[in-house]
Amino acid sequence: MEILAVLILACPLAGFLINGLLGRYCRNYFVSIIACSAPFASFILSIVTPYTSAKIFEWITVGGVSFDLAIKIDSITQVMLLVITGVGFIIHIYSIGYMKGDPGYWRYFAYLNLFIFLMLLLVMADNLLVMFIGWEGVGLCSYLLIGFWYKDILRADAAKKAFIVNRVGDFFFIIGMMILFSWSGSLNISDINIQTSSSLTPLVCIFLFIGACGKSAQFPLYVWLPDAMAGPTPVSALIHAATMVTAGVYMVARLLPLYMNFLGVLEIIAVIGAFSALFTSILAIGENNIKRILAYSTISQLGFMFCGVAAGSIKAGFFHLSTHAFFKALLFLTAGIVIHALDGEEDIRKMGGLRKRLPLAFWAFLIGALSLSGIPPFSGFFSKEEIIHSTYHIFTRFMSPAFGYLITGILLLTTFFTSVYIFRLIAITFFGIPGTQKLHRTDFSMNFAVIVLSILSIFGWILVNRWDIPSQYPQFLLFEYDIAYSPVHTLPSLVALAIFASLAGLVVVFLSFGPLRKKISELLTTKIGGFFNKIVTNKFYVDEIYEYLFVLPLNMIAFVLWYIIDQVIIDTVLINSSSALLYLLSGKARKIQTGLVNLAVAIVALGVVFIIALIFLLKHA
Amino acid sequence: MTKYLILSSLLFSIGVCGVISRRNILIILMSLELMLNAVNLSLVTFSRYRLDLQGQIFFLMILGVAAAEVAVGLSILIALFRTKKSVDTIDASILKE
Repeated sequence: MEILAVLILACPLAGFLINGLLGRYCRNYFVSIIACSAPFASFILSIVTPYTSAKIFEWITVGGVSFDLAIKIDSITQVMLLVITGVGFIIHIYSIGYMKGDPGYWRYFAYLNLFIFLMLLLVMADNLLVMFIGWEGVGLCSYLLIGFWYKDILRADAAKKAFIVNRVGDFFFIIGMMILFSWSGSLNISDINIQTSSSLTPLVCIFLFIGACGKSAQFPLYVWLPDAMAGPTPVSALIHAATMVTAGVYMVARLLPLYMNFLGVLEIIAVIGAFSALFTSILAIGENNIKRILAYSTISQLGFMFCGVAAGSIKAGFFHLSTHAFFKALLFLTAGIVIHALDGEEDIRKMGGLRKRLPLAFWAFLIGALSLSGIPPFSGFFSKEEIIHSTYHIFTRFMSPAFGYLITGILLLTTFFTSVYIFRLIAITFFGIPGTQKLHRTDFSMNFAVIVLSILSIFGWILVNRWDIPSQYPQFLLFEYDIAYSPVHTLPSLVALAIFASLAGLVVVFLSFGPLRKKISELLTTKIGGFFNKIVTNKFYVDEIYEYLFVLPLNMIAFVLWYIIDQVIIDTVLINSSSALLYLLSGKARKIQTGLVNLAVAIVALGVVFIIALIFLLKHA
Repeated sequence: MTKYLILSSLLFSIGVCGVISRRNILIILMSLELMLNAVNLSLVTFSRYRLDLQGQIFFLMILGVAAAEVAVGLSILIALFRTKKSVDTIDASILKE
């Protein structure tokens, strides 16, 4: 059965190699067939492969320690596999329509398949080193795909920013790995999960979590994700909504038995997750680019997932991960339809009244928005409820009640803001006075993908909810109450509060665009209102802060090193002047060569006298 | 003995001065010969006063060498004359900077 597991990995790899090497010579038709069949094959295989582990080969053996390229599939991995290959397949189909006519068509699909392969490697890894291959690899694919239209310098810069910020997280990940290895002598996940010993282990957990922050765009390493929207929209949907950004959540979940020993670390994870969720949901309200709003939304929902996992409820975190993959991909792909139809326009202030002109996009977007804001009976409602319930119950019980109330309160507030920003987006984009420009025709493949994802956003929770967690994961927290969504153990008041928060956001948006429109614009022109408006619209100036804190000093150091040390000191002072000096001296010394024979003989005679005198003196001294 | 040695060193220095300061190559060659013979004189002096015959035998060797050297030197001079049409050292100073 191990061969099936290896095949899951091999299909996208083969797709990448074929498309990458031969794609440029084939017609788009063949490229898309090969590229789309790879994740589909992996999807079918993921369904039928039983839980297994396989060692592909012995990779590094040094000093008695060996690391293998080993993969393992258990139920946590399987959820990720199904999400990655399933949603990935749908997005591949969508890309056929979206990227039609692009000269880099084959390159795009090659990168997409490479990404799927590396992400699968990440989730199937049995030791941290193999996971790190996938980790770095998806960061690389993210860079390649964000900067897909590399001739535009802004897009290339966005790709660079993504990779560099990601790298900061990776640095901490590596250090955490190294410390862990030095203590336990192995990087296998099963060996790590029984480590509790030294006092440095909480530090290791935090370092690994910082790595997860970089990958999953939590505060303060989130700045790359909004700019990453420079890539093609299906890339944003796949990488920056459904899969790569969930790698951090997956990693924490995998190592949860280790993290469970240190409740303080879990508290930190919950705090950062909750804060990122709240902060970016506020930022999303002030954004005007449709993809950037969705990007902030992703960061926000990832914060939810981290809170769920930090509460020890892998089920809650992964339930939300799956439903989020469905509705966020739906939102992105629908946004892609809108952008494609308007020939590249992404500013929502330039859109309007698209409800009548793009009906499929409107209804699909509405479904996605309802799912995102957690309104029943859509999928997002169930997963969001799960997370809010687990943070409430678990944190109040196992940490301090105040902490539980705090986190749950922040998450509820975020739910409110989530409704606000997403319905504001719908109001500005789809309602209002329609424009008159000609709309680009939408390809059938794009519509098909969007319809499938809409169905999943409504009913997907049924598929995901029947899932069990492997037994080696600590059940003691879950023991206390059954996380399966059943009315017996849920708190009706909490459910009501969450629904109220979601609907309140909807009502607020309706009011501020309807009856209270004048009042709101007056509010924005007052001093305080205008002040808040300015801060939020400028993203709380975080990018500028980073610019002054990190980018400028680095640039100055680089300038000093390059110009002053390399060019001036080494090149001019040391090398050029020493050679000039030598040239000068030898020019002077050259004049001794007169060629006069008599002079030569005289010097010989003088030399003889000198030597004799020397010998004479040395003998008698 | 001292008198002969003083004579020998005087002759040697006259030879050195000649080699250094004369411009005609033939004269330089003659001064060179003078230097050689001065050394010969000191050799014979030492032989006479140490009652050892080796000095005089060595003198004969040097004499032979001097003869051969003059032959070679004169042929070089003739070769130089053929190119430069002069026996002045100034005309041979072409190894300039």
